[in-house]
Amino acid sequence: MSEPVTQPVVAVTARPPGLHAPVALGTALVAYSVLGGLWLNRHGHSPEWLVVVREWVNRPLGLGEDFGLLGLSLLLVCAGHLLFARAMSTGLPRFLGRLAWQAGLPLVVAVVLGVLFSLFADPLPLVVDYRENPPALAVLAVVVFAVLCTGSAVLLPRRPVVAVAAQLTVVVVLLVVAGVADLDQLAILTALVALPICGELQLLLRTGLGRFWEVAPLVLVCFVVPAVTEHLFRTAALWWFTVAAVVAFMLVQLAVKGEPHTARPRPVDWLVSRAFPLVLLCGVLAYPLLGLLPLPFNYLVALPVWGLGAELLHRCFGKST
Amino acid sequence: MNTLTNVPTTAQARPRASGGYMHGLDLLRVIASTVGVYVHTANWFAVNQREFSFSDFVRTVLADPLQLNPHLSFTDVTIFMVISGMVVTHVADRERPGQFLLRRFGRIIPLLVVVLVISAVLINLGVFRAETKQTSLSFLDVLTGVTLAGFFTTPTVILVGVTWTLLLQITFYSYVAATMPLLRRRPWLPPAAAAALICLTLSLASGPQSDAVHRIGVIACFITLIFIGQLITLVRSGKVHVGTGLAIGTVHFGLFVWADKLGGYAYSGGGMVRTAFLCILLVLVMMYVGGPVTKSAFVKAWSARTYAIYLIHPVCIYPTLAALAPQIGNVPALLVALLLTAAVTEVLHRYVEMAVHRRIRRWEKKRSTSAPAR
Repeated sequence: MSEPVTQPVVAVTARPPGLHAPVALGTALVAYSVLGGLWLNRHGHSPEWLVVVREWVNRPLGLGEDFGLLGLSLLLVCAGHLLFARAMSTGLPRFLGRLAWQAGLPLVVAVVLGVLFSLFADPLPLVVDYRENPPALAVLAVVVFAVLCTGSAVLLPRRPVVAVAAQLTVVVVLLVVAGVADLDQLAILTALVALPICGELQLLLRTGLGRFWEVAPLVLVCFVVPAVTEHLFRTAALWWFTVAAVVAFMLVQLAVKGEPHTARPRPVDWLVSRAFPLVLLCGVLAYPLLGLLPLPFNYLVALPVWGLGAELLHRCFGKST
Repeated sequence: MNTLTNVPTTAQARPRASGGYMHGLDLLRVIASTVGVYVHTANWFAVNQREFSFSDFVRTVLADPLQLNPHLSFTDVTIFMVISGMVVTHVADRERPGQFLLRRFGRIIPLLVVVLVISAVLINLGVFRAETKQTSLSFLDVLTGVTLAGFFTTPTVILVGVTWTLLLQITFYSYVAATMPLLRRRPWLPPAAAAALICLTLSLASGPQSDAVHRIGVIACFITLIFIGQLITLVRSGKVHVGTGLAIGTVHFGLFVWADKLGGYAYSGGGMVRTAFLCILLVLVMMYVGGPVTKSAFVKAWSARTYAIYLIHPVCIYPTLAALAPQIGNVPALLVALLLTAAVTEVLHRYVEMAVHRRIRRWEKKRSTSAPAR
């Protein structure tokens, strides 16, 4: 009889390779969606190029919201890879400490900035409502996922598949609660939390910590969560979460299986290493700044300031991706 | 779809990724052929207004969440076309134009002719109905139907609906043979030139046109997917830079979107572009998939029979369902139809498809040994 496994059979590095392209693409798409489509539309602009892209790309492919949901989905799947890898490669206290320092404090800074800007400008409202502020719900999904990782930290190194299955069970229970209590935003949150769990499962399979027949059914459950959310709530059905989730899953799978060691341009490296602060500051810094100046000067000012803000957060709190 | 034509059994002709043979594509062929059989079965039940609860299940768990066509129409065709473009481009690298055409046409034409002759006989016996609704065929109808010329005549004579994709294959093979020297020297140029030609064809064929011109537009619309497969192979083999491949591939996909917007080319309902996009991604992901299931003899054997399955399944399934479903019920009739399809597929694969393939290979070997040494 074999001894019980107490350590992962394969070492998991803290930064799994192959995530650069999806993280960079996800960040760029979120920026395009929030600062391009969303801000322009909410301020009465509808430029022809935006309409053309929607007509020729977004609508036929089913990637609505100006790719915003796809961008967030890519980032969430990658967050699953990264947080799982960190939880596996470091102890729980160190994992929590780094999480609080590298993600928690920038989040506090972003909330403070949002509150300050709301006094004299027009940031994305700090509400947990996907219609009003999509990135906020995605950030909340990462927080919930981090809590799930922490809760299953004891199981993760010993029985990683069981640990992920436990996380997924919590998500399904939350979805049931959302269905029973008619809470559409909670259901959308569960659909978003299923994505980092997808990322975890990808990494489990890739590192050999999980067998295909153990992982595949759990991946299917991850896709069932957004599908059920859309089925239950008319508001959720508007965004086609499942299409974006499946596309994001396949793009990340392709990126990690493809050529993870190819040379990357420096702007891509910059975008990847500052992805988290960039997404955090998108709605609370860049978005309100756009409203303070006329077009097109607002973009010339807001984009560099946004980049500078992300750079400052990165230098203060370190690399989060 | 003629996938088997693109899956030569010799190891040297198989598509090789940098990591070796792409077993995942075999599994994908199996999945695509299953979907193809499902699509036509579900359509038959829908058209004949008979209950098929599995269709509701597929719609709920797959078609609705992914916003695809309710019966998953076009899924199988997209997968087969992209894989076809990949494999044919791979084998074209090591064959002369004449040899390439002989092998490719030798793989698709004999089985096609046999299946179409069988279907013509069944139509005249009143057992099977032609795609274009003829219930009896003259000699000329049979001739135009079997040679696929019936796609361009007025009235059109199409014996088996799925054979429309063979027009794409024949066009693509001819284009590859014609551009073979260019494909070796400037690999990016043939797919780029094809994009220009497709753009021109779509411009000319759009709007109210004769059936023949419209059919050329259909070929131009869907052949873009085969060229995307070609580009995948060219990028994988390092012959085309990933940026160049992505740019030309995007143009081809853009042309497909344009054709979809022009309308009139889709027989599969809505969601065609989305289906194509998801299927292309799936092919790319499956290129890297390995494991015991994908490498199993069962998958390999099924994968080798996908062309025969694709051609013969409507000819077996439709008449069987029509005859048996009212008598013994839907599910038993479907089981009989599937068993019949499997049996006929096996016979056609062994005694037509592979027999001709082996004969061509023997003839080539004999010719090469009898040729004087230079």
